[in-house]
Amino acid sequence: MPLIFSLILQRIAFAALILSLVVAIVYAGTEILPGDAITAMIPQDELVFYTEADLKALRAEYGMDRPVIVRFAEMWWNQFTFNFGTTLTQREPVIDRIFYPIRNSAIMAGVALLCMLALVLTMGILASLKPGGKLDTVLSSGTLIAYSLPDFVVGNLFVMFFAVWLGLAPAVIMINTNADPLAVLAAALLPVSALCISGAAYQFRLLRGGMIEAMSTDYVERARLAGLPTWRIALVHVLPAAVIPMLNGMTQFVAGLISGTVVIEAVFKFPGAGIELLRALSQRELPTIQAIAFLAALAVVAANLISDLAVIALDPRVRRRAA
Amino acid sequence: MSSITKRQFLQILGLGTASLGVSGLFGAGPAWAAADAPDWAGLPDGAAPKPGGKLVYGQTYPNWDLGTSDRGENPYYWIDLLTRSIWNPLVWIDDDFNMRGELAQSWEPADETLTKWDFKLREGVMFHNGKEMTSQDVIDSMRSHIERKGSGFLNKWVVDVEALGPYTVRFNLTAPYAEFPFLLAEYRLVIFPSAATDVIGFEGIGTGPYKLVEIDNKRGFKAVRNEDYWMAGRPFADEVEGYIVTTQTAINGLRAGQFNAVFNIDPTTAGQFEDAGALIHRARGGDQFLLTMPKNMDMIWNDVRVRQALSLSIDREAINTIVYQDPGTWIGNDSHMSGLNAEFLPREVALDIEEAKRLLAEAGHPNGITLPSIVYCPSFPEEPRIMAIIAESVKKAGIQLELKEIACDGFSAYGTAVNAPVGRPRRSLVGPRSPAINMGRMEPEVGVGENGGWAGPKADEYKALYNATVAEPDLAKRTEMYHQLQRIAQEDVPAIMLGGRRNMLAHMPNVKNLRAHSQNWSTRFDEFWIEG
Repeated sequence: MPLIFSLILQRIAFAALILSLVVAIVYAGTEILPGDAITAMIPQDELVFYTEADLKALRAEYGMDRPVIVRFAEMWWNQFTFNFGTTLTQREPVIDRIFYPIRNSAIMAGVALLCMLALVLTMGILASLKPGGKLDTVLSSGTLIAYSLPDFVVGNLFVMFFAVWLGLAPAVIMINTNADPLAVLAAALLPVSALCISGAAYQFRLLRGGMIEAMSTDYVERARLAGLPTWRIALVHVLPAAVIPMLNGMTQFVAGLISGTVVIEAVFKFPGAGIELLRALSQRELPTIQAIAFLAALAVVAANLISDLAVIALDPRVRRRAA
Repeated sequence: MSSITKRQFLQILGLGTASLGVSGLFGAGPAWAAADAPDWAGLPDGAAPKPGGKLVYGQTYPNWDLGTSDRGENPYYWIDLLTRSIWNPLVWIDDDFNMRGELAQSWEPADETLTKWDFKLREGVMFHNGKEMTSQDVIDSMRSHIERKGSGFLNKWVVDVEALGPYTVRFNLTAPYAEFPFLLAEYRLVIFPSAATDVIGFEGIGTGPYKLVEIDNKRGFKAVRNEDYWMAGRPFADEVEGYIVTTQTAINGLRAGQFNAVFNIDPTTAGQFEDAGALIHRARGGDQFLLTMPKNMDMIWNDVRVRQALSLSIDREAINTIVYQDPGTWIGNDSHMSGLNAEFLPREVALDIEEAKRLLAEAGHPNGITLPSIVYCPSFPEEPRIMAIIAESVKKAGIQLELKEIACDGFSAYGTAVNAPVGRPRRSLVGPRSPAINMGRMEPEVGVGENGGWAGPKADEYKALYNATVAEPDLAKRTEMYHQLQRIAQEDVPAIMLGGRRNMLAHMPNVKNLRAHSQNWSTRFDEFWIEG
């Protein structure tokens, strides 16, 4: 047991290190590279409007006249304690500006993740029961097409089909940013479906491959000979092993999910962090950009950590290597 | 001075009694009862409005200030969402530029100095909080607008407002102003219920046809019918919702039945809206694009020949033809005067590339010139295409000009964040107004943000002539003076006006009598109804 704990602690420490690196990269990109956060906010051809005294005053206002290491330590601490400062235009706390958008995106992405997992598991198991069969062919072809479609295409197709033609869901999400979570959930039906389609395709292919490989192993053959029903073999004996490649691909999926939400939110006018990020980018709102970048990285790192821990739990080989 | 009557004096001003709504004051017709709809608010012949229903509109005019504000209950942030659903000013300008009494029933100058104007308020106008509007509300509202600099004109002209009775107020002006009532139709100058200085105007309470229920600063609002609206029997619909959307979202929303109207559509997408079953209504005019060139620091366009060359090399007719499919309409003359104004003076030369090249060569740039970039935000969806046409057409004269798009959300603050009080080179939006306001926006002192810190002999001449013009009671003389002001602006090019744009509305056929207005903020919500 202590070895397992040690393994888990290693993974957590690694996650913290990755997150620190992200903070360092964002910091370097915005505050150390030629120019600084002030000049990053000001396009080169507009520096003409600033005297050196103006820039100096701005640097003092934003604390950029202090040593680099001090500012980095401060930024690191602030990011890790979710103290994201204030916006540049309205001087409102960044956390107030992004709280509801982040919450809404988390609801949408979280539900999309759960739906996607249910979809992938169902499709992956069914397709692997008879590789090359009609169902497998349909599912494999369908997911290949879905995987090839960009998110904005999927989003717009969904709008045309489900909202405009069938009238089953709204084409434009009109809830307020601070709407009740259940209202957000209800409004997110179509965006969640759109996110699932593109996300599920890749994960399906990973799971299907893992399932087919595991199905041809000796222990599965023995289980069949022992007379165990196919569903039991698939769910109890094959799935835990076959799901490991999918778990390893989870980080990539979550990263894709986050980038996908930016596109899907724009298509559906969903009041989420993606739209807020686009708004912040266009306004050069560095504190907001830094905050959303940190939280997005946190989500990816957390997903990676969870999938790592799941792999440790499911794969005895990993535990043996640790021992 | 020979003795004339008040009525004659007003006629000389060119502010006819019919449009002024002064008939009640002078006994020429019946005074309006507080709850009656004024005659200008009549419905089309044969109209049979149906009560009920909901208007849900998309607005493609993106957040200008609202998205960066946390005070969505304040009308200053509502031009994006169309102010008049919730609030009313004292005066409304109709699409033919007639002044109409909104919360004011009538008005007149107190004497021939034109420095005191008396306004008779409608009686029985109720705020959404159940309080009746009186003189004190008007006084407190105007004082708050002055304190918050809600309109540069109000600060320039108004010394104070005083009550002459419970329903009569007097505006005391700094100088004679023959067209003063027009000023009170400005979109920010709405009337609030009296409240403490730090609260007044921030409660979302107005006198408009709808009462604000909720607002999301970055997305939209919901409002319900005001049962106590001052026009009896209005409004007709039960609810109004407005959402700020992109063109594609607007079309999708219309097709899916979520919207039944979309304001400020891109003219080139009118066909898509029509395919979705919508009807298109075109206003006579619309907001125009003005390119502001700061001249208060060392800039290449401080040389007037460069500015003239730039103006002469912009193919404005191509914009009207390609983008608006409206060739032959008016084009900007580098003043704020709109082609809709009777006082508008058309350009003698619209486009002259050779003359532009000659001017540049004379200014020491025979091989062309690269100008500082000008920022804009796509307040209207067609704007990026217009900017592309400008950039391409000026190249023919050897002018390289980058027109840089940034987000509308926060654009206003971004434009003025540096180089106070002028700001960055940027595109300003100019809604059509009365000639005095139009020309006042280029006045060196008041219009410093838009004229780019215009200075020099021509600016001085303009300023002196402008002050004399607005004090001139004779309309014919005033018109000639306006023409001269436009000549000065065209000659010295303090800024560049493109011109020719129209506001357009797409609405489903069951939405009746909803119209686009040349002034976005003057769109009315007490005239439409929903059928079926």
